Amino acid sequence: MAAKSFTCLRFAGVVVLLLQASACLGDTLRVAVASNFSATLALLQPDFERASGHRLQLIPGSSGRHFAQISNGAPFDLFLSADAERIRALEAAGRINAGQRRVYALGRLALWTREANQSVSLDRLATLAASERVAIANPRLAPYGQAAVRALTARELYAVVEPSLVMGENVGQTFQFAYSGSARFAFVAYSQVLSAPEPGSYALVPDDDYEPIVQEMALLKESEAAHALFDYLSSPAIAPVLERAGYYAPNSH
Amino acid sequence: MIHAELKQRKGQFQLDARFAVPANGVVGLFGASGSGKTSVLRALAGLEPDVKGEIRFGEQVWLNSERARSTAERGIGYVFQEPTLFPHLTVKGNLDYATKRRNLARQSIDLDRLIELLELQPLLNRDTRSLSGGERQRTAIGRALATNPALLLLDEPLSALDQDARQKVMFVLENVFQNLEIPAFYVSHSSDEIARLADSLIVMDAGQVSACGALTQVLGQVDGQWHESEAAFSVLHCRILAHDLPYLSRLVSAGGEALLVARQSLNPGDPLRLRIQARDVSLCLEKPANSSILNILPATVKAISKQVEQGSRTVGLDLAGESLLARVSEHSVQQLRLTPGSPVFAQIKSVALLS
Amino acid sequence: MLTASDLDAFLLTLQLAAVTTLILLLLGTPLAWWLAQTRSRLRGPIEALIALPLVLPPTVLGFYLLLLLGQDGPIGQLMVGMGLPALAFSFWGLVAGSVVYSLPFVVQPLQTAFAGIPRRLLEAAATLGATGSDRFLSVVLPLSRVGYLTAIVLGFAHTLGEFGVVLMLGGNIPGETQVLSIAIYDHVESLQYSQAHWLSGILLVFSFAVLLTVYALNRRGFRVSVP
Repeated sequence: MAAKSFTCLRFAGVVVLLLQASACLGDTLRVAVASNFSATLALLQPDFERASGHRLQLIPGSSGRHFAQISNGAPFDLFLSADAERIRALEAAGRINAGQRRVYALGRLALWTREANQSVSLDRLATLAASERVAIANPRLAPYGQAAVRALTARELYAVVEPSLVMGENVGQTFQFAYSGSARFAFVAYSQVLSAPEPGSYALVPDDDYEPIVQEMALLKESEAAHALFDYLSSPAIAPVLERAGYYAPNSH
Repeated sequence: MIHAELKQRKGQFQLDARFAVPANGVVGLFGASGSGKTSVLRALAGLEPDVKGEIRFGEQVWLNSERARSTAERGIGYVFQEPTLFPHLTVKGNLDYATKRRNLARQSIDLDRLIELLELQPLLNRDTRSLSGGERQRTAIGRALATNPALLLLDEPLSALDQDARQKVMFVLENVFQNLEIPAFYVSHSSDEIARLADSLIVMDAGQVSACGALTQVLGQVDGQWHESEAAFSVLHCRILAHDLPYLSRLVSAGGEALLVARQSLNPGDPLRLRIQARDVSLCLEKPANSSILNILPATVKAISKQVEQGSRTVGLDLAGESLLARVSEHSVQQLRLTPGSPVFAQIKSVALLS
Repeated sequence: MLTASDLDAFLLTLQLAAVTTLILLLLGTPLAWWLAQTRSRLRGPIEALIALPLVLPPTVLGFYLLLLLGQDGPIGQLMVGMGLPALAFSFWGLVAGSVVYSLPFVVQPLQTAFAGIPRRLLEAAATLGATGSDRFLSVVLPLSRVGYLTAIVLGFAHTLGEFGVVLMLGGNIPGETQVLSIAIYDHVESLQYSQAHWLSGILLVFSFAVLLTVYALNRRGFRVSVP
C-alpha cells in the first residue's frame, strides 16, 4: 500500500518536473492552508519539494482569517480554503484572476467519539443522556458545520439533538471539544479522524445526507513556482494520498 | 544689590512685591503666613515659572520681560522648609550631588570645612531616611552650600524641627553666616530667628512689601500693620562689658548705653543681640527711683504711630542712636503728652538674648 | 520534540518581546512623564486611549490594525507611497501592533512611579544646578527603578503571551511573524498535541523564570544598606 502510493507520488513528481522544465528553481512558496488540510499538505510537501526544487511554507489557519488577511495584502502565493465561498468572494473582489481557482478536495463528514470500540451511528444521537453534548462547527462560519446540520435534518434528528449542541469556532476546535471529553460526540472532518492522536470510534456520515464539502484553492501570485504547486495539487496523481487522508479527490464524485 | 519686581497671580492670592536689598549679609523675609514670603523666595529661585517682572542680581539679569534664567543657571542654594534629601543617596551622596554640579565661576567652599561647620562627619555614610529632622536639615543646608551658591535661599528651615534641633541648627546657621560670606534670604515668621540672623529685613503683608531696609531701620518704623501690633519688637546690638556683678553681666549697646542681663557665658568684648518686644517697654517722664526693673534708659521720642490699635500706639524711641519700640496705651500717650522730641525714660521689663 | 520552525518561533517571540519592550520604554517614558505632570484637559482622553488594550479583545485591536496597516489602509498606503513595504504581515508590523497592545502595561507603572516622586525633589535638584535631562537621569530614573522593572516585565511578558493581535496582523509566516503562541495554536489545530505541550511548557517555564528573577531583583532593589 505504502509502496503503491509512493510510486504514485513519484509519478506526480515527474509530471511536475516535466511541466516545470523551464522554471527557475528554488523559490519558497507561502501557502495559506485551511487547518483541516494542513496535515495532508504536509504529507505531500516532501514529494513536491523534491520534484520541483521549490520550498513550501505552510501557514495553517482558519479560512475566514486567511480571507481577511489576503484581502489586506497578506503575502501568500496560494490559498487552500476549507470552502468554495471565500474563493468566490476573492474572485469577485478582483483579488485573483479568472480561472485561477480550482477544487482541490472534497471533505467528508464523520461522527467521532474519543471512546474506543464503540459502535457509532447518527441514530444513536437520539438516545443521548441530558448531560451529554454533541459538538459541531459553527454552521454560520464553517462548511463542516453546515454539513452536520444538513445531515441531522435529513435524518429528522435535528430537533432532538439541538439542545445538546455545542459549537466550535471551526472544525479544529470542534474536534478538541470531543478529544478533551467536553463533548461526547463531534461532527468532524474524516481527515481529522484519520490523524487523531487517539483512534476513538467513528462513523462516516453517508454522502447522500449532505451537500459535498467543496474545498477550493486560489492562485494568488503569478509565478512559475506557484503555478507548479497549483497544477500539482490538481493532478490526478495525488488522488490516492487525498483519499488515504480522508478526502475525495475532485471529479472522483 | 538685588533688585526684584515680582508679579504673580495664584487663585485669590496676588503677589506684587518690589524691593532692593544689598547683596551681602542675611536678608530676613518676615511676615504672617500667607503674606507671600515663600512666593518671593521661590520666585528668586526661578521655581515659579509664571512669575512676571524683573530680577537683577548684581550685574546679572535673572528675569525680565524677554527671558528667565533657569533655576539651574542662577547659581543659588535653596533650603526647603521640609528637608528634601534624595532618598536614593546617602548623606555623602547628597553632598556629592551638589559638588559635582558646583558653580565653578566662584571661589569654592572647601567641602571638608563645610562638613566640619555643619558637624556632618558622623552622618556621611548614613541613609538619609534614618536621619533625625535636625540632621536632615543640616545635611540639606550643607548640600545647598556645597554648590558654591552666589545666593543662599532658606525657607523657614527651622519650622519643622523640635526645640532642641532648632537650637542646634540655629547655632550651625549662625556659624555658617559668620564664616562664609554668602548673601542669604531667610524666610521666617519667628521674630527670634529674624532678630538673631537678619541684617536687612523685608516685611511682607498680603503679597506686598510693607517695609524694606536695614534690620534696625525697618524695626524702628512705627507705622504699618506689623509695627502697630503686639508682635512688634526691636533689636539692640551689644557687647559684653564685664561680669563684675553677681548673677549678672554688664553690656554696652552700640550707642554706648549700659545694660544689665542675666550672667552670660561669653567673654568681655563678645557681641550679642538683644531682642526687645515693644510690649515689654514702658515709658515714664522721670527716672523712677528704687525700681526692680534693671534697665531704665534715657531716650527721646522719635515717632508715634498714627493709628490706635486695641487702645495702644507704637512709640519709636531714639536710644543713643539706636531704635527701640514701645507699645504704650493711648491713655498714657495723652497723659504724658508724648510728641516727637519728648525726653523719656524707657523701662525694659525683659530682654531676649540672642548670641 | 521541537522542530526547526518551533525554535524559530521561540527565537522570534523573544526578539519581538525584546524589541517591543525597548520601543515601549523609549516611547512610554516621555508619555508617562507627560501624563504624570500635566494638568491638561487632554490627559483623561489620552489615558483612556492608552488603557483601551486592557479591555478591548485583542482580535478587535488586531482587526483594526490590519485595516490600518494593510496595503489598502491609510498607514499602509503611506508606507507604500514612501516606497516602503506595508507593515502588515511583517515583523515590524507585529512590533507596531505589540507596541499598541502592550502600551498600558509599560505606561501605567511608569506613570505611577513618576507621580510618586515628590515635586520638591526635582526642584531641589534644579537648585543644585541640575538641568532638565540631568534631573531626569540623576533623580527620576533611580527613584523610578521599581516602576521601570515592573514596566519591563509586564511589557515583555504581555508581548510574549500576545495572541489575538499577531494572529490577525501577522499572517502566521514562519520565521517572520509566527510567534510561539500562534505556533502552539497551530499545533493544537492540527492535532499535534505533543508539540503543543512542548512549546506551552517552554513558554510556561520561561515566563515563570522571568517573573521569579524580577521579583527577586525587585526585593533586593528595595533593600537599602544601613551601616
